[in-house]
Formats: sequence, C-alpha cells, structure tokens
Amino acid sequence: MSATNCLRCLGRPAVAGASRGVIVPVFAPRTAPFSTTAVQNAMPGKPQKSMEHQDRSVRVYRAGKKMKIKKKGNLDRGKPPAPGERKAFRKKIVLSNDNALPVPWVTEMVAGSLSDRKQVGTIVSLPPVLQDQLRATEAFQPTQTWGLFRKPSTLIRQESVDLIGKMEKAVENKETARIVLTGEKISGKSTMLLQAQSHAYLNNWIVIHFPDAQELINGSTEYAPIPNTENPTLYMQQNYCLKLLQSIKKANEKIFAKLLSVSSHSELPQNITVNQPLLSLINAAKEAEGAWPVFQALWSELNAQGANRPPILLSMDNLPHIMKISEYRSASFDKIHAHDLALVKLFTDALGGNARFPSGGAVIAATNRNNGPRIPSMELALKQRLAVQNGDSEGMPVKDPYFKGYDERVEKVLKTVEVMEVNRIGKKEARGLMEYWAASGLLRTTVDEQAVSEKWTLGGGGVLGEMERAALLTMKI
Amino acid sequence: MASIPTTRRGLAAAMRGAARPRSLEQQFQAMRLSAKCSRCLSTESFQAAPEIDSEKIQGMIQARHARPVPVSPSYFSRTSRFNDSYLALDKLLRIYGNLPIIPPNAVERVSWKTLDDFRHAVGEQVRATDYVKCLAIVKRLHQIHPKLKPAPVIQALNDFKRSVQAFKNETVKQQLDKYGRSLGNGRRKSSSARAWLVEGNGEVLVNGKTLADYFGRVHDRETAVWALHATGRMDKYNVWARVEGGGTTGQAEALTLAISRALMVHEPALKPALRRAGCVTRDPRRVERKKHGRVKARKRPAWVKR
Amino acid sequence: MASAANSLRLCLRASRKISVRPAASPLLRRALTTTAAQCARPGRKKGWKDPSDNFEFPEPYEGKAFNDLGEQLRYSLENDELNEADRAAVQQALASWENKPNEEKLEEQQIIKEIDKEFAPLRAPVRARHNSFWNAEEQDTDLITDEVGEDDFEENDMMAMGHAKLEEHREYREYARIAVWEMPLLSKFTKKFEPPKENEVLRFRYTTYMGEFHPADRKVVVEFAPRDLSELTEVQQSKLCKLAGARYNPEKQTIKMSCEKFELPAQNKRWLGDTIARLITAAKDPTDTFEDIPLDTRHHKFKSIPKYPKEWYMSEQRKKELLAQREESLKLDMKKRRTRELIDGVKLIEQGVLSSVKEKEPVAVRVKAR
Repeated sequence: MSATNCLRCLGRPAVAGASRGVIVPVFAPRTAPFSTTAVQNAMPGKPQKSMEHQDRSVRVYRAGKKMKIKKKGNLDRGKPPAPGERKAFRKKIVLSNDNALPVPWVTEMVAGSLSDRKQVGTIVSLPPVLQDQLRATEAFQPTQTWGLFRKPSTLIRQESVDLIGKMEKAVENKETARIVLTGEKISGKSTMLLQAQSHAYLNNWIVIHFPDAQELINGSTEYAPIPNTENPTLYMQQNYCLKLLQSIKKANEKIFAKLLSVSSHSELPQNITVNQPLLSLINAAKEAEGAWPVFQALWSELNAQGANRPPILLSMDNLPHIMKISEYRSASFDKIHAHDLALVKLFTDALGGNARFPSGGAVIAATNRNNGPRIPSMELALKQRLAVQNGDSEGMPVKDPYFKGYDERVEKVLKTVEVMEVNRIGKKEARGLMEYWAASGLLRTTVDEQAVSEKWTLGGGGVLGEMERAALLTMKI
Repeated sequence: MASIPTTRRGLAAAMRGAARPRSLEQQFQAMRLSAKCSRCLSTESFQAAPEIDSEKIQGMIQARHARPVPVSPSYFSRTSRFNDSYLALDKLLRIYGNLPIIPPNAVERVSWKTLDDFRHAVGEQVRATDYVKCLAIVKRLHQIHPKLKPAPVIQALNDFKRSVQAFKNETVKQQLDKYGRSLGNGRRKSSSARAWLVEGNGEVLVNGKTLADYFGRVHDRETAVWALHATGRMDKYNVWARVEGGGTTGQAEALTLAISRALMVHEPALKPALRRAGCVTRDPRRVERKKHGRVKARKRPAWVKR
Repeated sequence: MASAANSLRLCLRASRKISVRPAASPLLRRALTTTAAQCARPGRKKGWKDPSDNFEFPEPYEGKAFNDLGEQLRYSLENDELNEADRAAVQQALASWENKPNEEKLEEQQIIKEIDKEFAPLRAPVRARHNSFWNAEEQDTDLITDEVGEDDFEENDMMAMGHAKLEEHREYREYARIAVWEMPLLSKFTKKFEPPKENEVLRFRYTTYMGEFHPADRKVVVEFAPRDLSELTEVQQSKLCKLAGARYNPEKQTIKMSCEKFELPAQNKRWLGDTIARLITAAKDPTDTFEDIPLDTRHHKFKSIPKYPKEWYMSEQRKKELLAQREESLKLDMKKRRTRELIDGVKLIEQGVLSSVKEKEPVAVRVKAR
C-alpha cells in the first residue's frame, strides 16, 4: 500500500492530476508528497455523532469499533509436576494388574525351582519378599510387561536353568563364575539377570546389582579423585555409592544382620569394631561423603577370607556402557576411561577374574543391543570367547589389523569370561508362556500348536520380547 | 518402387502404389527385410542377395494386352484389396456353404483381426460395417467341420487371423524343484519379492534375517505371512525370501503375494481360500503422479489474493 | 555485421552500371571487396586487365603507397616481369590518365580514398578470438549468400518440404541397401572365440566410441589374478597383492589397474605392461617379503549374500523329521483336548467376567410388597 502511494507521490505532484483534468476523488487522502508512511485509513473528516446525522436515511459506518473478546484471567491449568515427578512416572514399575485373571497352576518360586531341569517351560511367580528385594535393586524394568499380569511371574527357560546350574557349580567349588549374557534385542537378557538374582536371594547369597551401567559413566553423578591413587588416578562416585549401599542394605538386610565384621574400621565416620553386624557398617554411610570408604570397608569385609561368608552375586546390566571412555573429565580435562572409575573398576576386576570371593559366587553382566554403544573390541572378544567355547578354532574371528578403535583394557577384562547366549525360545517354552497369557485373559485364542507356531514365527522364531509384542502389545479385535 | 515386382500381383500392387500414394512408413515397411534376410547380421558365412536379372523379370511379365490392364476388377474401387478378399470369401461360401458345420461352442477359438488390424494389414480404409459383414462370412466358414474343411477355405481364413493367438497359450505349470521348494514372486508399489516355500516348521527368513529382525512393525510381519495364516499353514512351511525395492509396507505386501503364489504351487486347491483372503490379485495401485500447477498429485496451492 | 556489409556492398553495386562492368573483374572487385587486404600472390599476373574495361585500378603493391593512379601505373611499368601486351595496356592507361583534366583526376582520387576509408574496418583481418566460447565471434562467411530471388517460386518444382521428405526416403533406402549388400560382407571378419591360454594371464580392456572423439577412448584397463602367475611363490604372490594396494580385490582375488596418461591406447597399454613387469620383479625381490604386514582390505566392501539354509533341503530324512514333529504336536493337542487342559482364551475371559460378577457383594433389591 504505502509503496504504491509513495511512488505515485514521487511521480507527480498531488495537484497535477487536477490540473490535467483527471478526476481526483474528493475523499482521497491527501498525504505529504514525500512521505513514506502509509496513508492512514482514518477519514479526514471523521463523521461525528452529532446532529447532522440524525437523518436515518444516511448510513453511518462506525469506524474504529472492534469486537472485544474478554480475556479470561489466569486459567487454572493445574499444578505443574514437581521436579523428578515425571521421571518417577517414567520409571514407575507396576507389578500387578487386578483385572488380569489369576492363573491357578502357577506356583511360587522356591530356592530350587530355577535349577530344576524338569520345570523348563513352566511359569513361576515371584514371592512377595523376593519382589521387594528385586525392587530394591531395581531388577525390574519399566519396559517389561509385569504390569499386565496378576502376579509377577517368570518363565523358566532352558538358558535360565543352565545359568543357575553354572552359578551353583561355582559355589560348590568355591569359585567365581564370570558370565556375560549376550543375545538379540529383547530376547530376555535382563530377565535372565533377574532370575539369577532371584535364585541368589532365595539361596541367601549376597547380591550387589548395578541396574544400569549407563548411570555410572554418563556424567550424571558426582565424582572425585580418590586420594593417593596415581597412575591411573581412580575416581569415586560418592552419591552413586550411597544409593548403591542403600539398595544393597535394603535387599540383603536379613543376611547382613547376621554377618559380623572381622576387622575394625576406624577410618569410617562411625567407628566399627570387630564382631559388629555388617548392617551397622552399612548404616555408617549416612551421607554421600563417607559412602565410598564404607563401600570399600564392606567390600573388604565380604571378601574376608575364612569368615564363612555367603556366596556373592555381582551383576550388572547394560555392560557395553562401561567399556568405553566415560563422560567424566580429569583435572587436566582429559576424558576418563570408564575403567578408572573405582566402582566400575571393582566390577571389571571381578569380571576379569582378579577378585576371588571367599565362598564362591558369580559375576554376571548382560549386554544390551537397543540402547548400547557399539564397542568393537567387546564384540570381538565375546565372539572369540564364543568360538573358543564351541571349540571352533577355525571360525575364530580375528582382529582387523587396520582398525584403530580397539581398546586393550576391554579385551583384558573379557579375555577369560564365559559367554552365554540368550537365544530364542523353543516351541515347548512358547506354548507354556502362551498358555499363561491366555489363562491370564490376555490372549483371545485357543492355545494349540498352530497358534503357538504362528506367534513363534511372528516373534522372529521365538524371540521372547517380539512374541510379546506380537501377541500382547498390539491391538487385536 | 519399394520392392522390385517379380510377379504379376506384385506388379499390380506396385502400380496401385504408384496410383495412390501410400504413406512412407508403409512403403518402408514393404521395403523391410524379410525374415530370411535377417540372418545377415549373424556371424556365419552369408551369401549376399543375388543380383537382379532384368531379362528374367521381363520374361515373367508377359503382357497380354497392349495396354497395362489392372489385375483386379475392383482396381478402381476405394478398397480394392478388401473387396477382392470379400468377393473371394463370398465365392467360397457359395461353393462350400453346404458342408456340415459344428455347433458354435465346439468351434476352435480363434482371435480374428480387429478392424484396425485389418485396415493396417491391407492398407485401406475399410468401412466398419463392411468388415463386420466380411467377418460374419469368415466365422461361418470357420464353423465348417474341421475334418471336411477344404484347403482354400483354411488359406482364406488365415488372412483374417491375428498373428498372435492368445487362446493357444498354455499356462506354464510350476513345479517344485529338487529341493522341494516352490518359487513365487510378487510385487507391490515399487517392491518386488521372491519367496521360496518349502515344507518345514514355520521358520521365515527374509533377506537372511528373521521376520522380526527384518520388519520392525508387527503389522508388516503379519501381512508378510498372511497367506499362510489365512490358510492355517503357518507351521507347515518354511519361507526363504528375497525382497528388494520400495518401503517396508510395500515389501511386506509384495511378500504376501509371493508367498501365496508359492503356496499355490504346493497346494493348488487353496486358490479359492487365498482369493478370499485377498492374496491372489496383485494390487495395481502405485503412487499417483504429480501434476504441474499442483503441489502434489492432488493438493492445490493455497489461494492467494493477488 | 556481415549483413550490413553485404547490404552496403549491394547498394554500391546497384549504383554502378552493372551491365558495363562484369562482376568477375578482379581489379574492380578489389576496390570494393569486403575481404581483408592480402599480399599479392606470386603466381598472379600483376596489372591484368579486362579488355572490355577501359577503367581500372591497379592492384595495391606490397608495402607501397601511391598518391595517384598515374604514379602507380608508372611504378608497374618499371617492373620487368610485365609482358608486352600488358605493358602496352598499362602505357595506354597511363596516357589516358595523363590526358585527363586535373579536376577529374582529383575527383577519382577522392572517390577511391573515401571508399577505402569506408571499407577499412571491413578489410581488417577478422581473427577468431581464441578465448571466446566456441569462437562465437567468428563470422561465418558461408552465410553471406546471394539472397536475391531466393524465395521466389518458379512453379516448376516441389516445395522444400517435399524435397526434405524425398531426402529422408533416400536416406532410408541408403541404409536398407547397406543392410542388404554391405553388412553381410562383415561376416568375413568374424573370428572364432578362443579362451586364453595358460600363459595369457593379463586381460586388457579397451574402449572405442566408434570413431568419435572421446577423452576416454585412450584408456586401457588390465585385470589379472596374481595366483595365475605360476612363476611366483605364494609369498611373492601375497607381496604382489600388498604392493597393488587398493587395486587388489580380495573378494575376486584379482588386481585391476588402468592407465590413461598418454595419448594413444597403445602407449597406455605399454605403460601398464611395464608397470606389471616392475611389480613382478619387486614381488620377486627377496630382501623384504612383506610377510609381517597384513593385507589391507579397507578399500573393499565385502558383500554378504544370504544363502538358503541347507537344513531346509527336502530329503527323506527331513521328511521323516517333519512328520515326527507334526505327529507329536498333533498328539499333544489331542491329549490336552481330551484332558480338558487345552486353554481357550475367549472362554476363560468369559468365565473370569462371570466369576467377578458373582463375587460382588449382595446388593439390596427392592421387592414388591405383597
């Protein structure tokens, strides 16, 4: 608008039109000839509400009147979620569903049920005490489908029986079983860890579980160098340590109440003398500041030789995360290798075979496929171990001589571990599982061989999580 | 002209050609090499065409009249070749019309030339009504009992048959190979799939991966094995498939078709069931082309005042 | 430019008496020509004169400038090469020139000067600009045609389109003739395929664009497999592969190299042959066998084509297995059905709903009073 007007102003004087006999409308707004501002729409002579327009035949347009929408005052949008509330909701674990039908034939898990070869393909439920213990160590994950069924229950698979068998055998020989669980996406590696923990709890082991290795290395917890450690400098994570101690205490309270200390720990905030219950040792860690020394003291107490300690299960989920450079920085702003973090070092030492538990135990780690970094040296090491276990020396994968991404420290840790593949389930196990689903009122089919085979195929040949997706988590009419 | 006339008929044709100019394409077609000559591009030893002996040709054309006289009496008509053949057929009908005929449903099915085909063949603008009449005679002659059908009739009818006889096509019956596999292929959108079906226990491998590995969406997995699901054969067969092109949905639906076709080789009786399940017909829909002046295939640009 | 010059020339020509002066006269054309001034050619007779012409301009002599025609004629008389007739003609011209009154001489002189001045830019030699795009500024002298009467139709011929059609037809026939008469003769040149012998290890590839110029037609590619070189030991062969670097294809186990350095394919081939010879001598060199260096395959992407699983091949054994499996599963189903252990999800849900209704606490219901 303004541009056209202006050009016209510049082109000829405002009076030129009249002088050439061009009809200029009277109501045309006269502007200053060189003005660049827009012509105001306001009438030059604004019709006023006065006596001259009392004649109704003359229509008067009201100018400048707008419809006004009354703005509502502050809308009540409710309270915004408190800090941490959203995360709590995201991480919420629901373990039962009252709308699901109870399944009559499901028995409770007992100490020996996971090692019973006859029970392969059956479903056992987790007793309430065990549920609390597992909750304390965060063994349940929100992505798993516990919330669909009446009671949290788990399928006894061939692999789980094998795994438990290895744990038991290690304890018999007072050795440490060092196992890495690998397998496809959602094939049940974390659940297998949960079963191992369940077995440990039911058999009065001490369980120390790192629920997510990612939390240790992604720079989300505070860290500090441990004094008097050189080459390499180690780092402690006191906050994480406190959390871990609390979860250990909550999960293993009964056992710790019975175990007594064998040496005095004067360096702790609370002086612990000989023959005090270990529970009081853990209780010494009230704040984050003293957590790491307490944890160290606890670890040395647990590993004390000749004190008749119970077997220990040390487990970790999402192993690949601790096999890389962490997000932490040293004082010289260099990135810290994950194995220089004291807690991680503790675990990797145990996994690498440097720690010996006095009455045996197991170190179990589960890899993850979905949200894990690719660690070439770990993948290679696991493949090599698998080839060695299968006695396949010809098909042994070799290092790519020109690839630079290998990590020697990782290789060293995984050099002697045992690799267990969590594979697809067989049709027999699938049938047991699907019968349980149907009996819980979640599968609207007759569970016969054909139905089982169909879901087994849709689940990529028996990948448990995929079968769940195909059968339970998709809308069906 | 185009080809050197060696027979009287050819001469007549040439004369006709001279009288009524044919299109250049037609002339060039007439000039094209016969099938016998197409060998010349092969690498075997080949003898070039013999030279034309003009004396010999002159000997063959024996002038009966002092002036050249058209061969055909219908030479001066608009559609002379058609008229000739029409008259010939009429004559044949008069001669052999009372031979025994067989009922129409027992007659061997033949695809006759369409009007366009015939016009193209004779190079004349034959009228549709005339051709219909002519074809009626053809069909009547064709109805003569095949054992009694005289040679001239057969020869005359050949001019009206299409070069490709679709009714003679036989569907190739597919069979299992020596490993007990059947191969079916399917397409959808721009995907194409080949599926080898073998008796087994319900394993499916697509491009070497399991169904769950290859298709992230459960719906796609179900679509891919829909043919087996619909016929209750999920646990009876193993599938080995190669898929390429397109997106996941297209690939899954291409697999449906491929598997159902492979299944029909194993069990042809399942065809009706598969048809009911919608696994027999290829879905011909493809992405609609974009048009100029539009934003997408259908979407129109927003109306803007000035 | 060209057309302007042309029209100018036409105008000038029209203003002259064409019937009197034949256009072919070289002397006359020289004055008004649009071509660049050239040096006198040695073969040409100087001062050549058309007998029908009584007016002439002598040719300009190399490097000489004359004030007037008389001076020029005098100069040409000094030339010894003139023959008698020419000499006489020149003398006659000179005499007529000298007999002319002064004003006429001056006038003629003036006219020639003016014309020369006018045509100087046209006579300037036109050089193609070598840095221009496709020599775009170069004038095409062929385009200057005698356009007079070009579009007149005399009604004695076909139209241009008819000619074009005929031309097209001629082309068809030409190719048809070639196909029938000449193509079969190519069969004389056929050669029988002979597979390469054992000592013919190198396979060369050349490129031809059927006579057209192409920058890639000089390229020669050679491919060979190191294991075909039977004179090399295995260690030497592996050294050869390592020396070849990215030219080695570990999947096909061949070395492929090309050359387009030189202008001729033969030169390129020679270079390739020499290079391979040098490679082989280097591979044979025992001072360093490269055994400690692993083969580098980073340049190559290995393709893995999924293979049909062999266990699926149908055999009697496999048939029996499958039958057994099926029988087993059938039996399992039958057994479960018989013992009513077969689980029907729908039925169970219905039962569950019913039982949950039953479990509800009794609610007081109003009953009609009797």
